[in-house]
Amino acid sequence: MQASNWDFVIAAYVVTWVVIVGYLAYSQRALNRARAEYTRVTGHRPGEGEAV
Amino acid sequence: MTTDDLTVQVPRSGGWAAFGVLSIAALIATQVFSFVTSPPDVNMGQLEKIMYVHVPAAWVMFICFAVVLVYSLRFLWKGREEDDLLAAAAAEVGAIFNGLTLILGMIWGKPAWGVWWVWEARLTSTLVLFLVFVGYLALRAFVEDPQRRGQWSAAVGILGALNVPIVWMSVTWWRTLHQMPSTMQDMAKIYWVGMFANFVTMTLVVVYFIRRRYEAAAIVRAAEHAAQAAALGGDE
Repeated sequence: MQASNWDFVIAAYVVTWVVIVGYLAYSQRALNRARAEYTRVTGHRPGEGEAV
Repeated sequence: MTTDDLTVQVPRSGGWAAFGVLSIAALIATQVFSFVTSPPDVNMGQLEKIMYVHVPAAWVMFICFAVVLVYSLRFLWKGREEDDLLAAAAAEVGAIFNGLTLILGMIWGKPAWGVWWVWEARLTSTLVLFLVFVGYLALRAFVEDPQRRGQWSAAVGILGALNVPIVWMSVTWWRTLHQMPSTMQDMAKIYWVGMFANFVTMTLVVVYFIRRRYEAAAIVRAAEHAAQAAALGGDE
């Protein structure tokens, strides 16, 4: 079966949003892990602007 | 300077979560706008809608690698670890959008050219750029000493970023299959407005990504410094 141009257009937008949403989720997970590790080591939450 | 002399300021989260939500919402809005309002192109038909994701993805990729260049040079000059972490964050985001650009180009190439891939100048130089920054990220994963990691990855980052003008000019220098860059004069207003709007909103999303990746890396490094100080019985 021959794919129509619409199939390629839809594929492009699906790929774009899978990448963006996937990377968003990955970034957020990494940030949460980093904050948890910082809190475990220092006993307080990051973001107070302290130099370590 | 030794590894222990490096310090990392823990960045404040501030309003970045809200910035991220607004950026994503703006990107959705501009994509819907350009998708709905642009008529089929005379030559490409509905395929022109792929340009609203492919071209902005390529442009933001260039922005990321420009950030890598600036902060890598700054790291080599000043030795601030924050600059190294910011360059690394931009390199990772740039590599993601570089890969996305390649995939979207292939999706466009199949119906337009009849092939998924061809070894022509633009595609090949973009693939080389991608591989350089995958190498950059691999290098960072393998080198443990932060000072050495920063210096080596800065060198690779600068070399990689210097490849950007080659990618940009490739369609002019070697006129092969990929089309020449379009200008505002070449395109009907409805097309370039959609393209520019998506470029702006995708840039905002990329700024958010770079900031979040930098924030995570800086917090991890600050935690490592704190753990090191605690292990040595120091009270920094």
